Amino acid sequence: MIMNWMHRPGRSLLVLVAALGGCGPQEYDPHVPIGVHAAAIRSVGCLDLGAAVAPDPRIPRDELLLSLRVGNRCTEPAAFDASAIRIVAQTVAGESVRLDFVDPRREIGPKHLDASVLAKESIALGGDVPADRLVEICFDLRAIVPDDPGPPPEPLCLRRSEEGWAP
Amino acid sequence: MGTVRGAVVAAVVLAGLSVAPAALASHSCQEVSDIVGRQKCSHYGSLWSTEDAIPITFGVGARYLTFAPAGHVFRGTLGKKPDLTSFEYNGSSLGDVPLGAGGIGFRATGYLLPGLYVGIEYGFAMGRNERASFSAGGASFQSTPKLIDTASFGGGALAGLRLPLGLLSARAEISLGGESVNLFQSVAKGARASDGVDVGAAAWAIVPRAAVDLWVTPWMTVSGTYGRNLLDHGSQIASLFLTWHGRSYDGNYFF
Repeated sequence: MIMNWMHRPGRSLLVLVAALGGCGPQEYDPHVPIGVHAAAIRSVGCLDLGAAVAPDPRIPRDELLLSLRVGNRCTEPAAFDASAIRIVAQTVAGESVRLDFVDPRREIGPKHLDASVLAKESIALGGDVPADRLVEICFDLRAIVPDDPGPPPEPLCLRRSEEGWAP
Repeated sequence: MGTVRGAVVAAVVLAGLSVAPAALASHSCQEVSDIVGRQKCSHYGSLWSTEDAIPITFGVGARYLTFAPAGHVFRGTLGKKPDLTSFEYNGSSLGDVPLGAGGIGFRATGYLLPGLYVGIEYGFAMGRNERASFSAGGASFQSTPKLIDTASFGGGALAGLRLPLGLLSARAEISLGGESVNLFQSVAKGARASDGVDVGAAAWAIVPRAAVDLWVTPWMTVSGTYGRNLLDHGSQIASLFLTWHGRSYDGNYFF
């Protein structure tokens, strides 16, 4: 009787721990590549932000898919507002056009990136000009960390070449 | 003691039932896309934002406890139902040296406020505690030669405060619950005798504890704790726990 009483709750908790441990955030190590070109990474406060864009068969052809990577170097949460990124593209005709996140559910907004965590998000970019008419995309990251006292980061610009979009 | 044991079991099972559906639901969902706005099971920030991290912890570890027998009534029965012969003795018959046992513990906590958590815990332990033979209440008692002759179960509700100190954190907590101890003894009373009978005692416990955590990953700590039962100063407990945290570094002071 003693053994039965001991086993049931104990086993349930172990299963629960294993289930919860199987899925979760990814730890950020600044020395490990995060899946974007090293020149396409900017640092703001505790955050390292990297970006890559490419066409993707899962989205309309006139859009591009942004692979956003944000790592938190600090051991405490850091404020991060992706909706504050300003995206300006250059067309083949030399015009400047604004691109926006395709966010049908209005999910993108201010959040805190958990301590020592790497955020990975895939977000479609759309605008008034089809993606195949664009030659350069620049991300203005000055406002992604609210109230950051540090110097503003350089814009992160990607240019289209035969190999794809690269810094 | 049936009340104490029942309350502990109920608390653990209730906690398990309250969390399990969410875990099972997330496990059963099949994600269809990683693109924001097209995801079925998750959403923007769900895997990395502090706002989406649930401030809970689950721990498992080793624990060692002592139980001072003096002042507690140990009870048992001889024979089979319905023809049972009951017996009891005062724990002081076992001597002044506390009974010791080592085993495994489990705990689950959740943060209500930055640095303030509540939770439940449960544990069992086993050991050997040979004692001199004695007689009490018309029965005689003797230790058995078994390698393990002591089993202990305990648990309760707890509340605590956490102070983050970089890669370390210090905690002070208090646990309200109970602990039971069963000894496997040879017993003889009248014409009846047995080479092995469970003889048990139980007690309520109010245990203030100090703990130190070392972060080994952003979501995992190794913790050492020590506590002493305020209701019974001979009863102490020390443990070494591995704990998984829903928030990295438990959000420090962030909520």
